[in-house]
Amino acid sequence: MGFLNGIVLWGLAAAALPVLVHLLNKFQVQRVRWAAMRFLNEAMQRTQRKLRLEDVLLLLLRCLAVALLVLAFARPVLHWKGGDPVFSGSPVDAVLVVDDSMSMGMSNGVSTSFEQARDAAGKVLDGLGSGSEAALFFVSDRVKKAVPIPTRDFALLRRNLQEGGPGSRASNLLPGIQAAVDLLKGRTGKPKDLFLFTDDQEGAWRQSAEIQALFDQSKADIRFHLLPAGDGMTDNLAIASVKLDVGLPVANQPLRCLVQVSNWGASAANDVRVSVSTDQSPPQAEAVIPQIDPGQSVTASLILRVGESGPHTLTASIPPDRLPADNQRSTAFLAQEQVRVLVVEADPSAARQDQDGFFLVNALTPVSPDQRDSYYLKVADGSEADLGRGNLSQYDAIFLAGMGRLEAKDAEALAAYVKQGGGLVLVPGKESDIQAYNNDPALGPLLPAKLSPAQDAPAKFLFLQHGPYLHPLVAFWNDAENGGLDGMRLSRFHPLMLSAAAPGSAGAQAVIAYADGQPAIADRAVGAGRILQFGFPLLTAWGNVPIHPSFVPLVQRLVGYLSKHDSDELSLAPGSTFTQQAGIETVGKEFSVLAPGDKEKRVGGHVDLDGQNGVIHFSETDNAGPYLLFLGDNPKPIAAFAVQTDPAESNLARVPDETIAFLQGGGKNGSGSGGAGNGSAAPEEIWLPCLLGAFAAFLLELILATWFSRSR
Amino acid sequence: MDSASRHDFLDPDAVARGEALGLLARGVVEGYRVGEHRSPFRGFAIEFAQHREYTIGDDPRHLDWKVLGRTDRYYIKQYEQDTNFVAHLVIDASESMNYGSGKITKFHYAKALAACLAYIILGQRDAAALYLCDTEIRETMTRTDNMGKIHHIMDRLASFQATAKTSLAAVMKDIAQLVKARGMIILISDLFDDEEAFEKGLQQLRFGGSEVIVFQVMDSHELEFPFQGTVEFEGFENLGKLKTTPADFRQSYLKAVGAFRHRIQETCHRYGCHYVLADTGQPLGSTLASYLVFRQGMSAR
Repeated sequence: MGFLNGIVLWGLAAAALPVLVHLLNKFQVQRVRWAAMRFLNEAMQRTQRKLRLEDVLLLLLRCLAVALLVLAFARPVLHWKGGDPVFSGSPVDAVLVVDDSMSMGMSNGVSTSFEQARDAAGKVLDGLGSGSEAALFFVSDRVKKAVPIPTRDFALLRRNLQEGGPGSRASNLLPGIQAAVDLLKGRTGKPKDLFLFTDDQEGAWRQSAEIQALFDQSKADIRFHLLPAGDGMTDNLAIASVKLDVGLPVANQPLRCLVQVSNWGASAANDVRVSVSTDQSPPQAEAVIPQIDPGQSVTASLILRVGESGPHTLTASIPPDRLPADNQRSTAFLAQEQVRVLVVEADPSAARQDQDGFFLVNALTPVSPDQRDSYYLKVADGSEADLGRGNLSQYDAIFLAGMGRLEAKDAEALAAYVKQGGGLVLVPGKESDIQAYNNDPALGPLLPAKLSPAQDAPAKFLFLQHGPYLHPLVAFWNDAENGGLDGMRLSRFHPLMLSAAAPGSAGAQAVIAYADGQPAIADRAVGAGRILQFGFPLLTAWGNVPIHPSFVPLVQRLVGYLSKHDSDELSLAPGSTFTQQAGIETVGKEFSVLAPGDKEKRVGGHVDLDGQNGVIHFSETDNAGPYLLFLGDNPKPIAAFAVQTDPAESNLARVPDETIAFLQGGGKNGSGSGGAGNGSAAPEEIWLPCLLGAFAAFLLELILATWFSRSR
Repeated sequence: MDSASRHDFLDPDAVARGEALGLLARGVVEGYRVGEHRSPFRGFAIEFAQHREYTIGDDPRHLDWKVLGRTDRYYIKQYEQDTNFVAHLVIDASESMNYGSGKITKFHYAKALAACLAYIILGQRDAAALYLCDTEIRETMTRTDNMGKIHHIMDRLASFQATAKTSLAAVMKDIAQLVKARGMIILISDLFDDEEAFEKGLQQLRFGGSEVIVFQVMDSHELEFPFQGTVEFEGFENLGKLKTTPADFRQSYLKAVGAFRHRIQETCHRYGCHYVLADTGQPLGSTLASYLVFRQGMSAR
């Protein structure tokens, strides 16, 4: 037992008051000469023993009543199970580590896990002995040191606790515990206590081995106290992902949106309504998922449109549940008015149908010639000479169809284009000089793969792989309803040798392979851009790829994939910094932000200078949801992005006891099902029982005294 | 003793009410002169009682001449004789009588009671004798029917100081021997003595044929025991000290006192004595008048 107001315990001396009063009464003696002594003696002999017992009983009751009253004012607290010396009243150095990950927003209908943890932390502060100092860390997948140095100003800690709340981040307790241990190790002179308030989500303990190692190293010096918050409920329906399933989002074109809903509960969820909206407007489309089995995820497909080109946000919603934070999920995309693609033909003088890019150009504009002008994808035919002349940055993607040897300046222009964020697709031709291709001084080191000399397929035809498709460009065909790529076959091909990672460029990966596992198309990120390399010409003489039903969608998706405005890049983890290029003319201008939960725009910062361009950096991205960035007074946003929580954070399964069994002997307080909210884990004040006890003792004394005096 | 303190004993109210009511002997008394009370002796007075034969030495004036004339026999006429009585006022002058919670002590109250009774008795031309005693008779004033002697009585009362222990039994035995003729014995005491000895003494007093009236004088504090806090009681007559909180056993004390009074009362009734509680908290006139009224009522029956 400890006392929150221990100084009052001096008042226990008041328990001696009844004895003192008794003694004082003894000393204040009235002397009487008396005649009827015989009756006095007789009466005393008859009742003295009984009287003495009654007097002792009354005296004890009075002392007890006073002592209980003093105890009540001293605000006694009960300790955790097993009795912890931390509330012995002696001063300690303490660090309060409070989990503020998204899962702490789980509500039991009355209070959230975070509120329960906050209450428990407040009680811990109440229970620390006079002279104690405490620091406060909020921990999710990062450590926020709200009160970094232990202080005696508990009001500061309480204010920080009050202002804190569950964020959008995922849980990982190791950094917080590590920081707290480091801080406590530097303290001397007082016992050290580490209080950890968490919902015990399994994911938070994914580094339990490292935490145990920390515990083992410091348990001699630091007392660990784990105070579980929450009510152990794991039922949760969450949106695990939301994304556009189109190659390139274009204004006024149907956009397919995929919303994946996960059921983390123990029972099936039925008739789950999913809706999507753009730019925080009312829902545009709605779908109902008939059933989601426990532990399963189901993807709903919805179609929507955006009227204007430019940055947009997309938000998917399901009906709210106990954990509302994951019932919405947003992404962002840049809708294009048009996409400009340059197709460079190796031999522009050849008949059109004989050109290496003939099928490619048709796949890029799969509409009748009279509609090509209104089609969003604008294809410019060009020759090698165009590479050196034109401004390549105007193109969203450049296809080299049947390229051979490049002029050095052309190759350098292409390399620069890619490094600055352009997308380049290399397709060999029927007569390409592959050695010149591979050994180009500018492009060669950047290529995803080296082309080998052409060879015939081993068994007449070489088919493309059946799946599953891991690369995002072709993942679309994992769904059998979308057709397949495994019907594409080749009679001749250039084997590809994937490039390894090099300074300034990542290693290459296969977009898709042949059925025998050899890469068919290679992909490599280079600088801010990307290069894709085909291992075969897009000619019917080499296979059926150009005339396969999936060829057009493949090319369309290829353009979208290479677009620098891909929606995946516009989805950030909480706390990440959003970066976007801006025109040189915007440098120094102020940009504003409309963040999740904000009703009005607020200043986000200024456009910085980055080489020849302006660049926007925005890092206040702690809250999940859609963000719109505006420049000056322009009502149209210049950029949009979304912050998304790790979908695993929606899994509220509690950590198994055996995983954190090492804490059992070192201060795990309360069981897994008991939380800080129900008071079993936190120190519990018992002043009220003391007060009631004092009142009862007074009342009993009054009754007995009346009873005894009546009988006397 | 000056006259002022002497006259303190005579409560005007008590005396006035007592004179009006009078103190008549309940039974026959053996007085020494004519009075208001019936005498066991036959004499020559107004009221005829009986005849008896003449014997030598009788006064021939009492011969019933009419009987002599008719029967030639000598008979003497005898008549009922009225006489006065002698009231023996026995006052307990032991140390325990010195207790008094208010202005007056029990002893003072007893003296006043005795003085008033003496005044009433003398006023009705009866005789009174006075005995002040503790373990023995300390002060005696022989009988007198002279009202002029009331001052002597009061002087005696005023000058006596109670200092010794009580031994009522011995005193009552002495009184019984002293009182030859049947009269009235008025015992004024707190009776804080051995109860068996008291009963024996009462028996002896009654054996002589005297009427006995017992006035038990008690202080109102002795009857109510109203003490609070811690009190150290120091007993009179060397009964030691006792420090205690009286409120704790008031009921027990009152029960003991009540039982004691009840036993005394029973003893008195058993021997045909009147028992009167004289509470010093009550005015003497009320106590005396109440008893005299009661007594008058008894006589009328």
